[in-house]
Amino acid sequence: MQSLTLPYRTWAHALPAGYKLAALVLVGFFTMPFEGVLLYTIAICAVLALYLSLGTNAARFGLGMMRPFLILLAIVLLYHAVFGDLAEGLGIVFKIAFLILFANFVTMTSKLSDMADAVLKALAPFQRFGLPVEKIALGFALVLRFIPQFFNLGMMLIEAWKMRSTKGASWRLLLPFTLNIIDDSERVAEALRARGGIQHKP
Amino acid sequence: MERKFVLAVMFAALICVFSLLPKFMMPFGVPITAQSLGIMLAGAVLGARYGAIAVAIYLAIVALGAPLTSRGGGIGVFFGPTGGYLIGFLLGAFVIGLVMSKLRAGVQASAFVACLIGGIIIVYLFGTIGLHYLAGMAWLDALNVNWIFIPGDIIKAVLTAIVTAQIYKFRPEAVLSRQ
Repeated sequence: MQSLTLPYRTWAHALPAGYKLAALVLVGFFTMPFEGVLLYTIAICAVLALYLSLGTNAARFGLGMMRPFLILLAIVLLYHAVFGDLAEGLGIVFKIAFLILFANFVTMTSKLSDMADAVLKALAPFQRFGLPVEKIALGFALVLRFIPQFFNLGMMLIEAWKMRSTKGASWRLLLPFTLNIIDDSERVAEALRARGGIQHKP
Repeated sequence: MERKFVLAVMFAALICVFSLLPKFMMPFGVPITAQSLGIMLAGAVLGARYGAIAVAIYLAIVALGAPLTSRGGGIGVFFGPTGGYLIGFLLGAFVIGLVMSKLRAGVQASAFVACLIGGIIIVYLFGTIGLHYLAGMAWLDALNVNWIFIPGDIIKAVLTAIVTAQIYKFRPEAVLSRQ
């Protein structure tokens, strides 16, 4: 199981996770209506500068997190180049790349427990209305943790299928994909139980 | 308790991964994606309560700004022309699970019918409301946008039915909609 957080501390770790999450929400919100290759080229350069400010090892770690997305972005670009407009495709791909890079920056410089705490803090006022705040925070942490793993699982299944088939990926991969996820889920639930289970403070 | 909750969380991750698959753009800026396949699976396998929890976690992660869709992420997507479909996903998964648990037919047939009702009618209903209010489209135009998605969504309903029945065969304890 891979970790999305840098294994050592940097200056960005010192920033409160709540601020970084808030920045992510704001950036996601304010970039929504904007398109354009130039704009997102500048934005990507800015994020890469942020990466480099963490040190070259951290930058390599961060760019490594982009790897599962590269094929996907290439497909999106190809799709637009063939069926639409290359410039528009570039704009979309750069925008996605920027958002992924920025989100990864937040992820790799924030411990999941800090992220969970930030969410907990924002949701805490709703706890009195019966909102299971700790469970929600744990849910966030687990989802963010497992998305790259399941993405890799899907890629692995597709590769294995392609090795033995003359055709491309098939819908038949849905079953092994889902069964793998269910089995992982049972193991995670067992691990949680072994550590005392999910506590719910009233 | 942990089991069902973790299953819902894992299906939220599954929906996220499906959402990362390439989309096909349709007129009026409505994308066709595999994410609705994930929504249907979550509802059919996990049932109303945990299916809705899975979708809610997925939507929350999107709202937080995680770039989990080809449109990026953030609160902004909920205000886009297709925001209604996102709300429709939540209620759609709930209805799929509800229909699944009420029907007494086999898992495959029940899942198919449940997906038609929850995954298509409910999702389209909220999508249409969204197109009307968010994109300023006339009701009939907004409704007519949906026809183009029907063939794709029927295929997704069939796939969901087949896969759910197979999961019921190999991991019956995971199909919470039939416990």
